[in-house]
Amino acid sequence: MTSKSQELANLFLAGNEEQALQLVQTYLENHTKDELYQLLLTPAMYWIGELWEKNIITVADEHLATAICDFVVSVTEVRRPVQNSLKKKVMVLGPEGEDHYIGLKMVASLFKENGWEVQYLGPNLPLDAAIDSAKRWEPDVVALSAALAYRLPVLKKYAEAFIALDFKPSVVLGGRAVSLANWSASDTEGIIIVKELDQLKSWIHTGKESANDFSISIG
Amino acid sequence: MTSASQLDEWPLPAFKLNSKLAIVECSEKAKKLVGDCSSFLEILDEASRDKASKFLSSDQPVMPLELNFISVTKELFLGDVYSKWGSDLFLNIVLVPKGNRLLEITSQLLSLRTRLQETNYDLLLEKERTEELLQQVRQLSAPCIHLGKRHVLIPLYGDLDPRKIEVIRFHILNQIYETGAETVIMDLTAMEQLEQEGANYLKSLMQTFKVMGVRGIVTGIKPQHAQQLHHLKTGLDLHFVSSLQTVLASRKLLL
Repeated sequence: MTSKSQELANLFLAGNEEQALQLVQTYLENHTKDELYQLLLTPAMYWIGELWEKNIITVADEHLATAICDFVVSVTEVRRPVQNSLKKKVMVLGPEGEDHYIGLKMVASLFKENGWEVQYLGPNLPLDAAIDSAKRWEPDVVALSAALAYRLPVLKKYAEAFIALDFKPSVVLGGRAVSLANWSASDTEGIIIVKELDQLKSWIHTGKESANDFSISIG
Repeated sequence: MTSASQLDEWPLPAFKLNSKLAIVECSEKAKKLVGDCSSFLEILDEASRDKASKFLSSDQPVMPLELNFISVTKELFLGDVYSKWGSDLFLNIVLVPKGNRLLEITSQLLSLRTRLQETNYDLLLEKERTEELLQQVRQLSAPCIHLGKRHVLIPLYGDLDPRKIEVIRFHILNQIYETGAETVIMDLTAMEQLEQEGANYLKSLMQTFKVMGVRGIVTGIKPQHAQQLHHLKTGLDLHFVSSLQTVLASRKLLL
């Protein structure tokens, strides 16, 4: 956790969107978007989660911080569709009960920047609705994320439901819960685990999962 | 749970826990809210359990402790917990459920902001599209028509402002060069507003013609433009003719 992340977390908690945006834009002058997401925003938001666990802030504070962070992510997002003949499609969503969505937005933005067509369905999406959308749109990839560890079984259930579809989308699993989980080797084809955005980025670029000591155990 | 009646008199859900956070006693209100459970941790959302055991087990519990509870109907709700160790070594707990109003308002504000942002973005796109169209209009507003006998006719449409001249200048000069025209007839019949700056640009365009050895004729000048174009003639070998037809006829360009 750098002092900059901490400073940003404090601005989020204070609801100071102007200064938060300014800090982020200054940071972006000599850093990439990925670095912003991974090294600045993610640690700041994790830190805010920890502050609640320490009973220093309330859920209301967290919500405010999330809203400000959301604002910052939205403002810095690429608007223009990147020209790319590949036009791969990705659907980004959080499973039912999971309300944490900043990670999803960052993932959506990362895909967009790499020329993917993105359908952002947001957090807390019931499985039926998610499967319905997937059947209609037939994305190449479904990206799922969970922040809280006990949501992992639900995440697995969703992943299994998606890879069982006829058009066989790949499923990317990420989020704080996944990065903390000790999912060990026993790979299921079509499921990719990303512990941080860097790994997602390298997967988008190479189509290969980062060399991790963990792989995936599902089911 | 024999003397539950004592806690029942409390206006808020109340619990009595032992040192292992098992529920020894709880009020009617508490039962109604979270059901009849044996462990306090059981009525908490999983993400709140570590927090609860850490803070409630300490000697000096902080107040209030914010935790997520699971209701009898399996819904999550947020509540503040006030606790105090009693002399009987039981932990007395009062639960103050928080209304969801604040969170509702937060999410409402957020969705409003999202909408504003989307509108803002749509407007930006529209602006870009308009800008593009305007550029197209500018380009189309000065067609070069070859009349034969090394004559080119350029009718100017719409307002004449510096930006328009900037856009059409290259196109016009190129056409003149490629066709080897010797005379350019600028027809201003369809021209509307003429800004002073636009007139200056027009003058510089005419000057360029002269440098290229091309003779310029201006036709179709309306009274309101005449004043502004008055100084155009100074220093330039320009020819003003009231109507296009006169020029065409005099040069035998009419069939």
